[in-house]
Amino acid sequence: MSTIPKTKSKGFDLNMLVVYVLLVVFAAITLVPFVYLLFSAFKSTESFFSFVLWPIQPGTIEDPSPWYAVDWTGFTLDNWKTLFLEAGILRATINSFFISSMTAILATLFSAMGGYALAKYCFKGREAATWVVLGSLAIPFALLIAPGYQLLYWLGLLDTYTGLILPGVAPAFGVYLFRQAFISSLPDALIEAARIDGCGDVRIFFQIALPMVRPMVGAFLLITYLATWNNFISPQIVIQSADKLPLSVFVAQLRGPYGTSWGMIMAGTLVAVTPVLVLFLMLQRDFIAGLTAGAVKG
Amino acid sequence: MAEVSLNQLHKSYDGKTNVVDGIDLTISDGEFVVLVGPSGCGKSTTLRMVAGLEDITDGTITIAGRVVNSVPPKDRDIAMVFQSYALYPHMTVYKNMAFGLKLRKLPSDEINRRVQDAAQKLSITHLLDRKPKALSGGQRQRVALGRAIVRNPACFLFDEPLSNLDAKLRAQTRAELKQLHHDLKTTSIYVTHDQEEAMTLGSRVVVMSGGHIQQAGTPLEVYTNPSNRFVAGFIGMPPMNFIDGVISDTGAGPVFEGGDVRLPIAEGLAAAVKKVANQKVVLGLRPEHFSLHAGESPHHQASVELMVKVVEPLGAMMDVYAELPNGQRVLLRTDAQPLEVDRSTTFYIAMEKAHLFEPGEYGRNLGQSIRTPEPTAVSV
Repeated sequence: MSTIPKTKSKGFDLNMLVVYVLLVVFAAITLVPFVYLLFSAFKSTESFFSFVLWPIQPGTIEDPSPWYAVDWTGFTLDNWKTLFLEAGILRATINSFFISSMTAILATLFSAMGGYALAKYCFKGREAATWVVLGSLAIPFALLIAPGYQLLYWLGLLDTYTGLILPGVAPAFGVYLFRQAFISSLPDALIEAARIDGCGDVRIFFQIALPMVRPMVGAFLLITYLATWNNFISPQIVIQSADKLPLSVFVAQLRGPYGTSWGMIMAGTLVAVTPVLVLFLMLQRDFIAGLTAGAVKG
Repeated sequence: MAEVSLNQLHKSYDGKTNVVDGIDLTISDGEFVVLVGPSGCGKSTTLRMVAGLEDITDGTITIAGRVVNSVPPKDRDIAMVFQSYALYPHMTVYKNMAFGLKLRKLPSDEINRRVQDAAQKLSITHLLDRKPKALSGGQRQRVALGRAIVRNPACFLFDEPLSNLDAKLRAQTRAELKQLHHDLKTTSIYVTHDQEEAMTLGSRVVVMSGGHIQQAGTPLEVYTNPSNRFVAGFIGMPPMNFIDGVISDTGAGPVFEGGDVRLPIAEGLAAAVKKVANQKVVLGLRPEHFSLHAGESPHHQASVELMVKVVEPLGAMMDVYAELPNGQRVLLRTDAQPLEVDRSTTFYIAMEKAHLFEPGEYGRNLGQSIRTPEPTAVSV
């Protein structure tokens, strides 16, 4: 007869309590800025400077209002009206979606193609190419800004979406990541079986190889999407026209030289943060699976 | 179905060393040929060249009368079963089997019919909706076989397909493979390092070493009449015992002297050994050609005193590790009976079944041209 092993944690476990307390503290530290952002986006300028979180009804020194006596008049939708109707954040949001989507899709596709070639094709200079990819990872981004700008200038791609997307479509990090993924997840026999079954190189890549590294595809799409969405420096340098700006630069430019509507900036930030947050929550399983792929024997 | 022909096939990766060195082999229509040999002997490379997965350095491969040297794998009309099964993990069993047919643009009802037929043949109909990760090793192997069968190819190529199975399942699948070949009668080339698999499956066994074919023949031929010492040592389990010595003539006929024993050379070999009198030779004795009783068979006449060191009972038989007077170990297989360890015991040898080889790893069998295979079952 088999017996079910007894679990130990029936009584009070001090270690678990400490762990949970720590986790709650860390969660709170992480969440506070989001809560602050959420309230600030809906507060009037006066409330913004008067209250840290929600506005509280005025009281007297003898009889102060309790923390739960919310002053609803301190909330406003003016920030949002200005943001969408006057400042034109919708255009910036569409720009961000377009730039991030294109960059993420192309970067994932070309990284996977590059990684697949380095992992599975035998050709002269493969080792050298791998070292070049690895070596380029060591070059700091800041060092590439000036030559990158000059290159885009020569190519006539300044102030274009192409100029923003093209430099990021084959990141060395991605190529190397996919190379490793293909080496660990795609046995040569599978490619050979597909070849005998009648597949050509393109079909093998799309129908056999890519599905084998699906978690990595998901993870890399997300990483690239988030990185492009949050990218501030590149669009700041490449894009000059206001109607082509992505959200990151658009929100930063909401600060006026003679006064700043912080409520509007907070609303803009919320607009900038929400889609990526939703995307991350949707794809987090792939994200984690991709990053831990190969870490443990499956 | 088709004849497959390899002519002066060479393969070199570095341009200097040939891993396959001038192979000539013709596999008849419907024949089941097993390439067997130790790791690195070139058997898998040969198979992969037939499949089109490796470039040919020199020579020609012909399938069904067509030279396929530069024909891509998909157009060679072959199907291959891999050691690692190589099933597409993201597809169901059905899709795995149908994939090749879809690429050949067969009508869907024809694809369905073929997949269902193959699944029925292999008893995997109930697995068609599952993905490979939900299958056991044996089931995966069947699916891999099914994927090959549905194609109805001119030639099956098997690259050590049973290596990943446990012993029991291996034996069972081996029998099924044999049955399958009997039913389909498709030309098959099978690669294995397991001589037992080679002997039981192949209608012809090709023993390879160092990129060369050492011998090609029926299982019985290579067992009873090995062309050289390598083949003799590789085929047969437990392996053949080899004793270094010389041939001397005492007047009463040629005698083998080696390992501090003297054994008379049987009549059948006497003519062959005349040329090597007083020269170094290697005596090859299969473990089952020893016996504890004189005259148990008409052959067991020559006797030798051996020191029994280890006895391994196998049921009806037993393996005995014993030492010649000079201390060299030999392995014998006899009927099971009580035997004392560390005690000198008399064993009788069927000398007319013994082999004499020239010295060296690939020493030629001096009596090969004389012998013909015995029409008896082979124990391997």
